[in-house]
Parts: sequence; structure tokens; C-alpha cells
Amino acid sequence: MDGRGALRHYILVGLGFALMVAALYMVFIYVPTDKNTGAVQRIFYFHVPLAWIGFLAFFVVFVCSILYLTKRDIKWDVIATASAEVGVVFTSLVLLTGSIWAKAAWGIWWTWDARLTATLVLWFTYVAYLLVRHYVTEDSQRARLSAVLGIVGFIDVPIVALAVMLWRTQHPGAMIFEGGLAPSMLATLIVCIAAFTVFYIILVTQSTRLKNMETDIRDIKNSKID
Amino acid sequence: MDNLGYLFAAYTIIWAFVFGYVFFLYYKQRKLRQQMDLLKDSIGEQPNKDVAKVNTDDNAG
Repeated sequence: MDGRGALRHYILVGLGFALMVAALYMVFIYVPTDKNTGAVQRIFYFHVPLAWIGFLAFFVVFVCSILYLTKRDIKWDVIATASAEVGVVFTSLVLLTGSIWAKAAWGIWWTWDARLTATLVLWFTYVAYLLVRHYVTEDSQRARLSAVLGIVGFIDVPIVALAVMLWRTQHPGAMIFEGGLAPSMLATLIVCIAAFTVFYIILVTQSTRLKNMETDIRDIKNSKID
Repeated sequence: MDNLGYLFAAYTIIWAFVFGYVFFLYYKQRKLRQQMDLLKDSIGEQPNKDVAKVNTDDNAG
């Protein structure tokens, strides 16, 4: 990293750390306990940002995949992979924390509800995306196939987002947009989303840098063999 | 498990995954740096434009 790159990185890490400390303070101390569901409702403040960042990650995959197919520039393929990797980690956490919340609130770990099922399909789609990248060895074929999967897979994101409006689901509705949250709860949620957004940017930047480094090393090895 | 137990479980899983992924990236970076050092050693002191390119790319971050 050059001087400016390192400074940018440290500013981002500092900002992310400060936001995460603020988020934890707000989740566990500032925001009042929900009258109906009790302490377990505090899962919501990390569950929702994880889901939103998962959507953002897959949106970045979608945009970068289109850019790769139109411009054939490998840098878009690298960013798409980094974003898909982070998206899968975050979506795994959405499914796990959602399941724990479901057990506490509904008494069951899982139900084949529209929102839950669509999220699981989304997770499988992007795990498949990463598997394609792992098993296809030819560079341009791998980039092309995964770009197509990155675009097609994104169809499921609006389905997950709108599932609570399109079908009768057990999952809570879009109460954030309907004004169903108290101001303190909304403020906490916004800080958590900001913290995870910065965290996402740091992870994708680092992962992209490592993937570029990996490619360079492989290229040098190949040139030495040739 | 009471409500606090579920809350504890959820946040433990979140941080375990997050630290796990950060550690994975750190491990990968260490491995790549080792490979880079090996490559530099195998090329020796001789100036090589490919190595110069990797250094530039790595520094550009």
C-alpha cells in the first residue's frame, strides 16, 4: 500500500471501529428493551444490517458482472468475487441469527416461510457462484460463467426483499419503512447499518487486494515456467 | 435456553464468523507474502520487470 492508500485504509478501519463501538453501546445500553419480545429483540439490530449488507454485496456482484461482460476487464471479475465472498459470509449470519431469533420468538428453528426460503435460495446461489470459481480452472471461462451466475442470482434479491409484501409470511413485515420503530430503535439500527457498511468496504478492499496479489504471483510463476 | 441465552448465542456466532473471516484473510495474506519472498529469492538480485510490477501493484493496494 502506498502512503495515501495506507492512510485511507487506516481512516476506514478507525471509522469502522468507532462506529462498531457506538453500535454495540446503542444495542446493549442505549436502546430500551422491547416490551413484547424482551432482550432477544436486540438480535434485530445486527440481523437487519447483515441482511442489507448481504443485498448490497450481491448488488455489487451484479453490477461488476455486467461490467465484466461488457468491458471484459478482469478487475470487475475480481471485485465481484470479493463481494460475493463477503455476501455469503453475511448471508450465512442472517440465516443463523434469524434461526435463533425464530426459536426464541416462534418456538421453532426453521419454517418454510417465503422470506426464509428465498434467503436460503439466495445463499445457495452465491455458494454455487463461489464453487464455480473454485472448480473452473480456465480464467476467462471462469469469469464468464460466474458473471452470468452473478447476474441471474441477483433476481432472488428483490424476491427476498418483497417476500413479506407478496406472500403471507411468518417473518415480520417492513416495519422500518412503515414507521413501526421508536426513534431510539431507528437511530440504533442506522448506526449498526453504517458500521457494517464500513466493515463491508474494508473487507472487500482487502479481499480484492489479496486476489490481485494472487494473480500476479501466478502470472510470474507461469512466465518463469514458459 | 432463556431469552438472554439466545441473544448471547446470536452475538457469539456473529463475532465468531467475523473474526474467522478476518483471520482467513490474514492467513491468506501471510501465505501470499511468503510466496512472494520465495519468488524474489528464486529470481535473486537480478532486476526483473515482473517482480517490479508485483511490487508496484502490491504497494498500490
